[in-house]
Amino acid sequence: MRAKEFYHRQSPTWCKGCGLFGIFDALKRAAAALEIEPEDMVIVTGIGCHGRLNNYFQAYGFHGLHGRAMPVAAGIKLVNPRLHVVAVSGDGDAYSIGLSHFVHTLRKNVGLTYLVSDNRVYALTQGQISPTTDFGHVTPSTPLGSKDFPIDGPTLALAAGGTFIARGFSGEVAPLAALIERGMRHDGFALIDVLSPCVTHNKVNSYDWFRDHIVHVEDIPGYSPKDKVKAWEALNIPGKIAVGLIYEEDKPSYEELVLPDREKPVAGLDLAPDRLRLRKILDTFR
Amino acid sequence: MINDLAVMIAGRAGDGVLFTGNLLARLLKRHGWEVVTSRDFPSNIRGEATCYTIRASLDGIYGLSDQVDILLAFDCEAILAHLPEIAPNGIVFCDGQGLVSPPEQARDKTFHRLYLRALARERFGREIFKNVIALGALSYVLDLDLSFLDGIISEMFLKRKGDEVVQKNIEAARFGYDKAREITAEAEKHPLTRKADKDRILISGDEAIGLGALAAGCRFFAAYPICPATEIWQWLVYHLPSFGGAVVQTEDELAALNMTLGASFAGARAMTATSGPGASLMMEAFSLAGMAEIPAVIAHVQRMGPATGMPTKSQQEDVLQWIFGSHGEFPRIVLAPGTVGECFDLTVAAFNLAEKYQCPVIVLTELDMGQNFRTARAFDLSAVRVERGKLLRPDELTATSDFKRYELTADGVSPRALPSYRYGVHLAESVEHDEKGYRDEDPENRRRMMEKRMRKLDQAAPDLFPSRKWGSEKAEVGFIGFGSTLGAVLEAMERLRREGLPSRFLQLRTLWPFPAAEVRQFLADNPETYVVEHNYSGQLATLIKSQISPCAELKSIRIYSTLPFTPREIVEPVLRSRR
Repeated sequence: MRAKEFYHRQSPTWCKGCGLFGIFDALKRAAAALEIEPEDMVIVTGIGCHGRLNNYFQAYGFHGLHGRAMPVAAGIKLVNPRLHVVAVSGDGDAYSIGLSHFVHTLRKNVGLTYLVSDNRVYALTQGQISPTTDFGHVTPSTPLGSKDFPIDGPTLALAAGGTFIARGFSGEVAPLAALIERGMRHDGFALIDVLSPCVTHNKVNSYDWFRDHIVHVEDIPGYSPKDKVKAWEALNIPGKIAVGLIYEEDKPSYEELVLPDREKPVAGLDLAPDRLRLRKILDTFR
Repeated sequence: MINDLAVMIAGRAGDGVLFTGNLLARLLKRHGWEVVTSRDFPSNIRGEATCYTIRASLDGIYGLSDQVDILLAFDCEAILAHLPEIAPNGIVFCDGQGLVSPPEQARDKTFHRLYLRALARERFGREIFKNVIALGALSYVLDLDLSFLDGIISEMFLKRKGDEVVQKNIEAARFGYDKAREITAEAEKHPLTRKADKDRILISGDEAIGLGALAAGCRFFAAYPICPATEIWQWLVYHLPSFGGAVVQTEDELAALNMTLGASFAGARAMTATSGPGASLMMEAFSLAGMAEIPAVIAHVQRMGPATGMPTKSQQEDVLQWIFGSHGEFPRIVLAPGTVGECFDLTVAAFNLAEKYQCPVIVLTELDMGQNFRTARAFDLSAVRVERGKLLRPDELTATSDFKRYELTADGVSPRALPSYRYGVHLAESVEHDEKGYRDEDPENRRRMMEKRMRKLDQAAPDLFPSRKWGSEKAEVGFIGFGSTLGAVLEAMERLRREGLPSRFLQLRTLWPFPAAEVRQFLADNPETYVVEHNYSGQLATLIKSQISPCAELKSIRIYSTLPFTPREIVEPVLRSRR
């Protein structure tokens, strides 16, 4: 195992106490545990406070557009499956503007690890509601309380055919790192939704609040992440939020299904024109 | 003998109009003729009126004519709809069960009943043979070599359906040939002059773009289905995997272009194709390609807008969108092929330009070019080069290289490394960034980075396709246009020449960066210049005026109806203005 400092490029400037510190630390630990070379890792981010992660983490990075981390990450993974591609989004990025990309990339089972830093608000734009904000939550954009009912990423993922669905908590870095490591080993799409408090714009869903509301699935008697019914039940415990590896199944990854040869990355092909073969194709138009 | 001909096959969607037309086009091509097809289809699968026109000539042609010499109609309505287009000595074959006698307007035309469906049913047990019977009949009228039709039938069916089906179809073709001989007088025939079919192909613009992409080393294609660009994908999907590549259907066009950029960032030559609303969705990631300096090729086959518009009709309404569109300012290249050969050549060039200048490149065509078939000299594969610009090899970087992905260079283009290179680790950044790719909001950095990106194309002119000049050096009238209007313009110029009015045409093949020097010179050389374009507002004229100052007076010929330009639509306004 490597030292996690190996992946530390720069110290973050997030607000003191931001949940993203826990995610940053856990991701470094997971990369260290897997002994990934920085050049074999690509971190794709969306727009939000999490998007700064690329500046801090030592690896290749792609900081794209709001909500579009998924297709960019999928494009990278498909042309070079040898790379460890980790996408990072916030709850707005993943479950609002990028919801369709999230569901479809997950459904295709592209071999990505997707960390969604869920703080239940739009922090970078000063605290408006997000798709995971509680009903009635008062924010600058909802002075009378949110009238939107929230959605839950892991529950959506289970319904959409996810093959690795987990939830971690920024306040529990070691188990989060273990989930990320496991997700990165998974051959297929791995969602790790992370309860990640915003200390500046969300005074309700604090570290203590999350600690009071989480249930570790491994503490549920007889729990098995291979059992979809149990996963559904865990995601629907009234007033509680299930964390841990919620669901896992084996299904062929998209790379396995669509690439002619996973061992010959599309990005590494010799592109010199094969005139003989092209001539034969051209002849079909005669 | 006949040297120029237009045949129309008309009926309802589901009649096999497309099948019959495609085979006839290939048959004429095999007889040495130049061919341009045109489909006028509704955007549904079955039921509504459709027609397929084949313009054929012994000489080079690029577009449709105004008249139809032979109409083969699968129903009476088709006859009535198209009678005005039939030439005075034209010949009509009608499978109409409903018409008792030829319609009044058809009196000066040769009118024959050819009960294709009934004959197919009686003789071959299935109505589906009507199309091959029709082809046999047309072969008689045009005095074609039946063995050529046999050959095409065999190519079409042998692999997929077996010898029995081939033999039955060949029999049906002969049956149609004999039937036509029974009902057609010798004098009514349109016997074609024959010529050797040497080193030529018949191909659609979409297929030519697909083939160009394949030859250029495109190995990743991501797209969302949309008419009329889908044929590029449906062609590539059969070829990319055997070249080690992959084709992905995305959830929308936002994803299609973002995925293309991801693949390109990781080192693949990647492409997407779209039209209409899909292009609007791509505007967002178009800007990302510009800012993060990621090579990307986008083929846009224009259809009629706005909104959903008319998905099966051609138009040139999306020119300014690609030149001035999206948020922020960034360099982009917009190429506009006017022939299928140029669809191939410009697509190959697009991939090289995208990597050399690390920016998005648009190959802008229209439905008329994309979905219709045209003959061309077989593409020159020996000219295809794959040039990857400043893409470094992994061994060109060492521990002391201090690699800067967005290094400030004299030409604005920075070296590029790919994920997996040990000493090339960097960030592709959509936020304003420093030379290493990391976020930087310093005003001086912003100025430098903006100038770096924008100067990339300052010296690009020698790499771009020059405009093509057609017609007389000394002319009284000049035309400027681009894309598939080429055919109608050239034919209009020929008619004007016969009227004693010499003219010339500047066919723009690079729309952006704008070829200002060429256009300025062209304008200076003509007493008057018409801009010919298929849109309402005159987007090309607007572009010219915005880029050339002071600009000579520009006259404008625009159509925005559902069919491509015909020569008459260009000739008439020119002659009218001189009366």
